[in-house]
Amino acid sequence: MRLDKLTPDQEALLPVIRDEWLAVGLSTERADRARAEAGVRAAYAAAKLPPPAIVVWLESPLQGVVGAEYLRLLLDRMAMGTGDQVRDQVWDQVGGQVEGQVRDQVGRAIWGQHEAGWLAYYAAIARFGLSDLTHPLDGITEVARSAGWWWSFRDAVLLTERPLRVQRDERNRLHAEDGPAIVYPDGWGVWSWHGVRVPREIIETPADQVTAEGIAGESNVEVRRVLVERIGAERYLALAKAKLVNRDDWGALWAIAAPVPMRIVELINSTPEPDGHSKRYFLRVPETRERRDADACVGCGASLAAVPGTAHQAVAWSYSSCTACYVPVVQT
Amino acid sequence: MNQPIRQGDVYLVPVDAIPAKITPVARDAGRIILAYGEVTGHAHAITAPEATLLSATDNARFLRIVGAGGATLTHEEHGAIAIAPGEYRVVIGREWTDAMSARQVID
Repeated sequence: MRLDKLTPDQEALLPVIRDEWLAVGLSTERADRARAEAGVRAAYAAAKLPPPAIVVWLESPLQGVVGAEYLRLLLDRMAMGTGDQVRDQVWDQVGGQVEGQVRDQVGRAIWGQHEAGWLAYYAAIARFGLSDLTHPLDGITEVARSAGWWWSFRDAVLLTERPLRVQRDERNRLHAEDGPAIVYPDGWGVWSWHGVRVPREIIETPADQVTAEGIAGESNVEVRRVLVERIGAERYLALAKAKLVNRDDWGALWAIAAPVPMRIVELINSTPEPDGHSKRYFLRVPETRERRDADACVGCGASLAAVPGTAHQAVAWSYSSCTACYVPVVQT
Repeated sequence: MNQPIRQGDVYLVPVDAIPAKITPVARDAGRIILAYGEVTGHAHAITAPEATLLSATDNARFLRIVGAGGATLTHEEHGAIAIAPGEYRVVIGREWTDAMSARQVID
């Protein structure tokens, strides 16, 4: 059998299959251990391997990684083997239609923690009458529907629990303002602010204990933005006793005197968020003429202003350009 | 001359010529990744086969786009941008540090 084009009925099924697999990917139910182990045996049979003699259950991906990382090669080989066999025969024919509607949406929503993203694709193919081709994936599919991460070895299998909680924002990005956005039974988890993975203290430090020094000392610009967002940009600038040097169409340039003299340029993201607000970033630019490295414009080779005096100079500096050469006509 | 393009931390400056001594950069799972966000997992990426990322001896990077159709620069949280055929210098945003020197912006 060959699938060249989806019928209207089949197309109508895609959102149903998508939602089914979103639920699989985001499930916080306790693992169905008997069903998962049956799936493991089926997966091993599909790979022409005897069922694993030893079955180990752990509480979280972290525990699983510690126990199994160095032997995950076998799982890769098995998934690739069965995947490719199916893929060659069905991917080109219907890949585009299914991928656009199912694969991407599920893949993005579950943040790659589970297999749901790509299994959804084959589940759809199976539903459309090509289950003979997708049959080798049945075991892996059963495990995905009933447990968390797992690792397979020739004579053993290591399976792990699903999370106790998964919290997301209105755009389906991992987000929790009071604790981990994902947490597993052993307490291991992921702290995330609107999809930006951050250290635990970034979320859990009370807003009134966040300091300007702490913000300036954060080296990752996204994590820094999260800290500023938590306390508010105005409060940050007030805490830092920032003085406005210049404001123009490009942003605002601020000077901070203590404890370390600094110049920071405040930039507004070109692509607004769906709710209409735009992310505000703070980037540090030179406040001194002292240099370790020479600094010339990548566009024209002219030397750059040692200490940017306007927001335009500051943003141009951040792209190694003079203001004449920093003229993005298109920006998002 | 093509137009300069900016998408988040990535700035593409059209150039007349690129250095003679230059090596192509291997793709990452079929994509050219101009910059990768380590805390978001997002990437400024190009999939078009017409695009090639090139690295000069001083580690400056250039983008070459051949053919008439151009390429598209995508990112999970920024609007997609069409890039016209031509050659570009790839500039990644940087910021100042206490060490009296600049480092690439990390996100």
